[in-house]
Amino acid sequence: MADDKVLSAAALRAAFATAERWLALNRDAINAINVYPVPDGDTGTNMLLTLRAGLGAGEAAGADAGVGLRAERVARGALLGARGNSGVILSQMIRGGAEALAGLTDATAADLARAIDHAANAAYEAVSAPVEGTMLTVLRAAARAVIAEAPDTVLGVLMVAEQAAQEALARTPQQLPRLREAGVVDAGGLGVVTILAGLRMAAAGEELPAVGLAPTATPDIEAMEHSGYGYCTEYVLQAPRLDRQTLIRQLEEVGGESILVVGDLSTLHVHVHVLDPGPALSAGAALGSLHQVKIDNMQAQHEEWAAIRAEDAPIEVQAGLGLVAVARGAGIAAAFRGLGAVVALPPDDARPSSGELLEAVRRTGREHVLLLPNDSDGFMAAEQAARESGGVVVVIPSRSVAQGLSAAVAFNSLDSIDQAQAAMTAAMGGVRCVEATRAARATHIDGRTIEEGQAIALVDGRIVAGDDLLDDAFIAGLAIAVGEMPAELITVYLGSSAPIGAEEVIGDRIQAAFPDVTVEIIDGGQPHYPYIAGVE
Amino acid sequence: MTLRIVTDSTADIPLEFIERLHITVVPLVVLFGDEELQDGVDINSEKFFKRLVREAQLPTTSQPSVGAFRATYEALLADGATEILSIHLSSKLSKTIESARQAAEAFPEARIVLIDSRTSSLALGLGVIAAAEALQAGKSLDEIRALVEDHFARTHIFIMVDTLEYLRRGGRIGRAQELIGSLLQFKPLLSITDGEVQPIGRARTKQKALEELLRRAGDLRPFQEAMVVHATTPDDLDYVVQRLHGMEPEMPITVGRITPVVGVHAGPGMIAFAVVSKGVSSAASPRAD
Repeated sequence: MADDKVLSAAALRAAFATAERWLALNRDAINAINVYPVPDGDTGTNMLLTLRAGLGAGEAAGADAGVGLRAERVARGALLGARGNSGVILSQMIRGGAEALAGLTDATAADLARAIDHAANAAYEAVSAPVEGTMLTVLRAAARAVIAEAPDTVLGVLMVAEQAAQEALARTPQQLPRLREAGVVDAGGLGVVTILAGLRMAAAGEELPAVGLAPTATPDIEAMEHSGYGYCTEYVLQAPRLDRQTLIRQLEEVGGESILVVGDLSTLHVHVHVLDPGPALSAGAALGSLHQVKIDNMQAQHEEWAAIRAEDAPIEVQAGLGLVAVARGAGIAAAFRGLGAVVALPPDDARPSSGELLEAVRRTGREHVLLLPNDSDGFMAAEQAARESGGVVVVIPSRSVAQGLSAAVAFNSLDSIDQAQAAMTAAMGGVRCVEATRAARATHIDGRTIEEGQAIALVDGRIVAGDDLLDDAFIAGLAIAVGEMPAELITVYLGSSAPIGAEEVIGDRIQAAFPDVTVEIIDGGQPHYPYIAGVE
Repeated sequence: MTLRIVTDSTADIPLEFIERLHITVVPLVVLFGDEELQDGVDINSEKFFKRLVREAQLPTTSQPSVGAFRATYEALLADGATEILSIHLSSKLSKTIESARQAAEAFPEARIVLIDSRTSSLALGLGVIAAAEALQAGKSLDEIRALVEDHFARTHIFIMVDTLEYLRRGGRIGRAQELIGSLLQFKPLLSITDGEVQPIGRARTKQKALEELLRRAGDLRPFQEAMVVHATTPDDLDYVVQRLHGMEPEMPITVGRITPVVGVHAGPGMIAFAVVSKGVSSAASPRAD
C-alpha cells in the first residue's frame, strides 16, 4: 500500500480495522489522561465504542461498495452509536469525511486530504462553543497540513496528517490551562492522533507495537478482514486477587481481538472478540468467578442493525408526554421509573449512544418525549437524538442525577410540552450535585494536589475537598454546597461501592451537621461514586 | 323581591365577610368517631388541627342533611326572603348540593336557584363573596347568577398539600392518584378542575412547590383579585400573599384559614391560593340549576 496513490474500499476497511485495534490498545491510556481523576473518565472508551459502532454499520455496505458508500454507512453508524461528547464529535468528523468521499469508488490522495479537511470543519460546526486545545484543534492542524502540502500518495497524506496532529496535541496544554495544570495533553486529541496513527501504520504495512503494559500479538490482516464476525464476549471477573496481564495473555492465546480488560485487583471487566467464546470464558473461569456474562453474535448484530435502519421504524404516536431518563444504578433507575420515566440503562456503564436514547424514546410510545441526560458528558448524544427524532424529543439538560431526579419529580404527563419544559427546568434550578469518590490517579487540578486513592468531593463537577476518609470528604462537600445556597432537602444516593451500613452512619452524620435540613437516603446502586447527593 | 345568598362551610369565607355581606352558611359535618361536629360551629380550625394530629383514628366528613337545608331556607323565607341563591361545592366532591336540591322542593312558592360551583374552598368562597357584593349593589338574581358563573369560570385554584394521604383516605384524591409511586419524597401540587381534584405535578421542596404554583398562576395574568388560605402554616401564607402582591400590586387579596371539613381532606401543612383572571377561563364553567 505504501506507494498507492489510490485507496480502495477494501483498503479503507482494513485501514480502519487497524485504527480501531490501535485505539483499543490505547484506550486505557487515553482514559487515564482525563483531566478529572474520577473513576469514570472515559474519552478513550467513548471514542472506541463510537468508532466500533461506525465500523460495524459499515459492514452492512457489502463487499462491492465503493469508499463513498462504505464511508456513508460508517458515518451513520457512528452517529447513532456515538457516546459521550468526544464520541459525538468523532462521529461528526467521520460524517464530514464521508461527505467528501460521497459517490467515489476509490479515493485518491487528494480525495483523502479533502476528507480530512471536511472532517475538521464538521467537528467545529458540531460544537456550539468550540474551544482551542481540544480534539478540534488537533484535527484542524492535520487538515491544514495535508491541504498545504498535498502529498500524492495515500501514505503520504496519512503521515503528514499524523505528524501535524501530534504536534498540535503537544501544544494543547499551552492552549488550555486546566491541561497544563494537570500536566496532560487533551484526551480527545490523543484519540484523534491514535486513529490517524493506526491508519498510517496500516497504509505503511507496519505491525502495531505493544502499548503500555499490554503485550500484543502480531496483528493478522487476514483475521482483521473478518473482525466483524465471531462473538463479542463480555463478563465481570471477580476474585480476591487478579492478575490482569495473565488474563490478557490467555485471551490473546485463544485468538481474542479487541481485548479490553479494565478494573482493579479484585474486579475486572473483560471484553473480547473471539470466533469461539468457550475458551475466552474458560480463561476467566480459571482465575475467578464470572458475572454478567454476555455473548453477542456480532454478525447477527450487524444484520439486525441493518434491518432496523432499513425499515426505519416510526415512533409510535400517542397523546400525552413521555419521559426518558439516563440512569446508572438499579436504585436510581427505580426512582426514575417511580416518577413515570422510561429508563435508558446503558450497558457496562458506558455513556448511552443517541441510538440507545432513541430506542428508549420509542419505548415510551408518546408523541412528545422529554429527555434527561443526567450527565454533562451526555448532552451532545442527547442533542443528536433530539435532531434524529424529528421534533419528538425535547432535551432537559440535567447535568447530574440529582438535577435529573428533581426535574423528573416535576414531570406530569398531562401537561403541554411547553408547560412541562418550564416546570422541569424550574425544578432543576438550584439543585446542587455533590459527589464523593476516590481519585483514580494523582493530579493537580482547580489549584489542588490530589493523590491517587485519596477521597475527593465534587460540587457540580468541581473538586472542592480532599481527605483520607470518604465520609469526611463527603460531609465537607455538602457543607460547601449548603454554604453556597440554603438547603431544605439533601437526598443521598448510595452507590454500589458505598460502605456497608452507610445508610445509618452517613445519614446520622449529615443530619447532625445540618439539623434543619430534611435528609433522604436512597439506595442508588450507581457505579464509581459511593455517594452522590442532591442539595436543594 | 328580596334575595338571600346561601353557601356551605367549605367556602372558607372569613367571618367578617359573612357578617358584613349577610351570607348564610350551612355547615357540613365533621365526625371524630361517633362524635358529630357542625363545621365552624361546634369546632374551629385551631382545635381541629390539634385534634387531627393527636387522635389515632382519622375523622370523616358528611354533607349537611336535607333537614338542615330545609330549616335554613325556611328561616330565610320566614324572615322575608322571596328568592334564594344557593351556591355550593362541586357535586363530584360532596352530596351537599343534592341535600339542598331536595330541601328546595319543599318550597315551591319561593324561587330557589342552585349553582354547582364545580370547585370548593376559597375558590367557591370568592364567587360567593362576589355574588353577595353584587347583591348589595342592587343586582337582580339573574344578573347575579350570570356574574357568578362567569366569576367561577375565571377563578383558578392552586393547592399544595403536605401529603396525598388525607385525600386518599377521604376518597377525594381523583386523578391526583397518578402522582403516587415516587420513591423520592415530594409535595403534591393540585388544582380543582371539572369539579374534582386534578394533579398539577410534584415538587421536591415546599419552596419549589410554592414557586411552581405561582409560576403557573403567573401565566393567567392579569388578575382582578386573589385569595390565600392555609391550614397550619401562617408563614407560608404570608409568603404567598407577598408574592401575589408583587405580581399585581393593586389587586385585593383576601386571606383565611381552611375549615375543619376541608382540613380532613387536605391535611395539615396545606396551602392554597386562588386567582381570578381578568380574561382566562378555567377548563370548564359551572352549571346552574
